[in-house]
Amino acid sequence: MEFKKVYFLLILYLAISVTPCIALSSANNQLPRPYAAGAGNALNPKISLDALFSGGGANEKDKEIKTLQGGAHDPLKKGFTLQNLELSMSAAVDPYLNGEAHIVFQIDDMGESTMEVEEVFLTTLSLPWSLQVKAGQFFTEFGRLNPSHPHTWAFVDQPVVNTRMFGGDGLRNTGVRISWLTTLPWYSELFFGFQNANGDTALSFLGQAGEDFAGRPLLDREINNTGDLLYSGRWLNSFDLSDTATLNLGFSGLTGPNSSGSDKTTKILGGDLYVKWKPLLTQKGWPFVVWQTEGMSRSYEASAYNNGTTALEDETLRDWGLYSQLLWGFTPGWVGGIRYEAAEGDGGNTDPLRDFRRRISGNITWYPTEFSKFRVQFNHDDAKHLENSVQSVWFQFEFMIGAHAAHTF
Amino acid sequence: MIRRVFFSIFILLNLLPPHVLWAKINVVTTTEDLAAISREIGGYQVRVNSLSKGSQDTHFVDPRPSMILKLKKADLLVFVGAELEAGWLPVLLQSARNGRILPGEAGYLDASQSVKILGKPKGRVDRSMGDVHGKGNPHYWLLPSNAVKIAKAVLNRLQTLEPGSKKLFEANFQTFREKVGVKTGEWKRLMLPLKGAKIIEYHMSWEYLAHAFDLTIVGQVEPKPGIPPSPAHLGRLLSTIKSENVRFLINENFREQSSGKFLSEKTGVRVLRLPISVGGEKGVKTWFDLMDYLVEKMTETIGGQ
Repeated sequence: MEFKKVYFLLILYLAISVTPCIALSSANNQLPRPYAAGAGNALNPKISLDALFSGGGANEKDKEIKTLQGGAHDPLKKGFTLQNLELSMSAAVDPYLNGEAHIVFQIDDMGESTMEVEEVFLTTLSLPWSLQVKAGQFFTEFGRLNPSHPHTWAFVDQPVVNTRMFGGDGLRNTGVRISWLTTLPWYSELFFGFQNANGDTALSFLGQAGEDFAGRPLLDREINNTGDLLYSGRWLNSFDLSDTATLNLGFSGLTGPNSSGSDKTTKILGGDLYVKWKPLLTQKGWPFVVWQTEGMSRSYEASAYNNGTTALEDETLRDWGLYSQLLWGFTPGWVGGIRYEAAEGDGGNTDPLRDFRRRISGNITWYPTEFSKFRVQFNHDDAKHLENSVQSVWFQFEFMIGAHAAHTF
Repeated sequence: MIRRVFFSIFILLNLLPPHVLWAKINVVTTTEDLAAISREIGGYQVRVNSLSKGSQDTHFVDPRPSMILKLKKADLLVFVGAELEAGWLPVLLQSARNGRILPGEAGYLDASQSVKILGKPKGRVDRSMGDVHGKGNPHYWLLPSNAVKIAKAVLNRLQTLEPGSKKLFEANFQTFREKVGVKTGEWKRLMLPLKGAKIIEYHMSWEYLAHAFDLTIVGQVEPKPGIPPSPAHLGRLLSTIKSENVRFLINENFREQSSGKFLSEKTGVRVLRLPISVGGEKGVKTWFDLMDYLVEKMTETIGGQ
């Protein structure tokens, strides 16, 4: 009798304790909104325009330079290039979503103006279970450099390995990406995405029908089922080594169809490392040291091809590459950088997209403020398909106007 | 007998606010100053974390991913606002996946909306004027009345998030407010000999301190906010120091010290290298410590001239 009473009172006590707490947590979401969220200025998106120009020369012909400077926003030729004019807009769509768009204008080497939709997507602001969804047209989150915009790069040109794996414009397409911020005690995020696998911006995958890859023409291959999409996965970790040093370590993978044949797949794996040291006492963010390295390897199932003059067999083509760059902000406003790159493909001795390549670059950048920069870079290039090594000197300047959201770390 | 004791204990337990047994409120602030004030109001009911350290320049903090983890768990985010953290807080908030701390929620506190802001630019603002803060000077925590206003804003939010502890928070706030009143009187007495003294600052960050103690700022080492001094500008400062009989120069401890050294060598003016935030110097752990330290260093220049 006594035990039952105790038991009953215990349950009653627990019930009384729990209910107000549940009511409180739901009350938070139903609070009236007397707190103005920057009322008035919140209705215009952040708009910015970022202009990136380069100029320079090399001891080689323009034709050869084009094969070496494979990035679509790299300096294309001797003389001047408008690499990138990026119009960016971002704003909160509503309490659930953030939206942003990046449109890029260029002047090509014939003097024609072109426009491309670089990215336009929504991001959720808060979903349960620490999830986040990104949907629209966006750079695949593979490695560190691919999702970033050229005006943020520490070097004038795209790394060779990125050009070979993803093409001059980087890997980007329309699709959906879900990410989960895990409950591990350090920052650990898992990404899973699926996007279209075709177009110029999916070089290693379905690509553009009519062009060719490794001596084989790319067929017109349709998306028949979900198996024909490009699947991506990434695991990103970040560790605070101390108050002054941070380390980001990521692993990425891609799998998708390629159009050398009707049932061929390409797989790409990559690892990336980013280490930044910046003391607590800084003059506008200086000094600092950054070391960034990425390595990638690709296996491309290529089908047999015979057009009378060339006979190629069914084979898996393997390519790999890496870049490693070190930046030193040695005095406020000035950064010195060096970068080493190497890339190679099996059996691809003279294909400029697959031969052995090594490039060393050194540069100095001056940032009068965080809204502009002036850079001088020297490249030394060795490629199997070229007899001699090539030296080139490039300079670059950038200015930004408007309000541009900060970039992720 | 035992039954009655048991019964009474259970009734007593039921009367206790249940929140006492639950986890503390997680408060995340962008600076240690806001963290220090939040701790004064929240007491043992809050767990407070600052994203940046007191010796860092708040304009140029890296948005490290570990900060995203802290924001994910926050019940209340308190930030300075007035565009001070514009370079790093928004990108963190976008990845935080925490609906409690989004704009408009009770967990999102822009402290600049509750304080007195000085230095609001009149007329057009654009980047040719340097790194101008379009909404006014954001370094407002050095004015004692603003510290109380920040505390009041934190009090309101804590009471909304944890109504069961309303009285406790109110009591903490009153204690804080009284202490600020008493200490401000002391500081003003100590700073009386410096009333009207002319000073030069490196960056436009000491306006509120000058306002609190009637100091007059006659120039900055930066010709425009964020722009380093040119030899011509330093030359102009030399004549200003002599003609206005400038008492001392204030540099935040993260600024380059060589300009101050140069000016001091040429004119003999005192250069004070001071923290602008709690945690910016050893032993400066609370808002009162910070003000004590600043007043102490400034009063050391009395009688030196």
